Amino acid sequence: MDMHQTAADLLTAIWRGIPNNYKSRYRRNIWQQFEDNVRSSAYTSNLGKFVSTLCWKLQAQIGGKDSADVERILNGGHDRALLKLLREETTLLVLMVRVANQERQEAWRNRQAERERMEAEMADPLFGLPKGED
Amino acid sequence: MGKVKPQRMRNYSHFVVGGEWVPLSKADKYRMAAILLNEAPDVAVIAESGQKHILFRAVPGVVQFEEQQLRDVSPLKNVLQLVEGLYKAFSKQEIASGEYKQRRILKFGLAEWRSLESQAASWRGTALFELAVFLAQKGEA
Repeated sequence: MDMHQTAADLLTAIWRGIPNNYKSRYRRNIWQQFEDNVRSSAYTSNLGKFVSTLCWKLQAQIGGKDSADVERILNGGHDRALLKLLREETTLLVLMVRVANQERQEAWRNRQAERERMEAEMADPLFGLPKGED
Repeated sequence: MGKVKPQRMRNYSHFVVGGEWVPLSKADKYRMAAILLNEAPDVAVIAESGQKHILFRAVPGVVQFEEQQLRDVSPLKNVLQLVEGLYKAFSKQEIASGEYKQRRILKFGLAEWRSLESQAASWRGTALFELAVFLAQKGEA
C-alpha cells in the first residue's frame, strides 16, 4: 500500500481515539494541535514509541477495529520510512486525515437526512397509495 | 527618485542593461523580474533588505541577490511561475518555510497544493528559490 496512505491510516486511528470532550475543548485549534504533536512525536526511531507518545499527549485511546489496524502497521517493518514521512510531510498527512474525516461526516449527514426523509414519507397515512391528480 | 526622505544606494537594486544604469526600488519587482528574465543584464545587484551595502559586490554576468551570488538564473522563469502559483493563496513566509496553514490549503485544494508544493520542496533552500519568492507578485503587472 502507498506509504502516505499507511501513515494517514495510522493517524486516523489515533485521531478517532481522541476523546470527544478533548476535541470539543480545543475545537478552535485541535487540527493544528494534532499536526504539531504528530511532528514532535515523530522524532524517534521507533514507530511504537511514536504512537504511545502521541496517544499520551492527546489522551487518545485506540480501540476496537482501529487497534488491529495499528497493530498491523506497527508490525509492517516500515518504521523509518513512516517516521520520516510523519516528520517531513506532517501537514499533508494530517490534511489527508482531516479531508477523509470531513467526507465521512458528510456521508453520515446525507444518510441521516435520507433516513429522516424516508421516515417522514412512511408516517404519511397515504404512504404507498398512488398519488392522484389535482 | 521622487521620494520625500533622502534615499541611499543600498535601498535600491541596481541593474546595467545595454550599458544603461537602472536603479529600481522594491516597488518595481515586476520590472526587476522582466530584466532578469528577458534582458540579460550586464550587472544585476538585488537588494532584499535594503539595509546592506551590496553594490560593491557586483560581478558582471552574475546576479548578486543580497549576499548570495547566482551564476545561472535560467530556471528562474519556471520557479517564479511555481512560486506565483502558490502565492495566490499562501503568504511568502509559508512558501519560503514550507510550513502552511491547514485552512489555507483546504481552501486552495489539497491535490493542487500537493502538486505545487512537491515541486517547490525540491527548490527550497536554494538562492534561486529565495529570489523567486522575493520577486513573486500577485496578478499581472
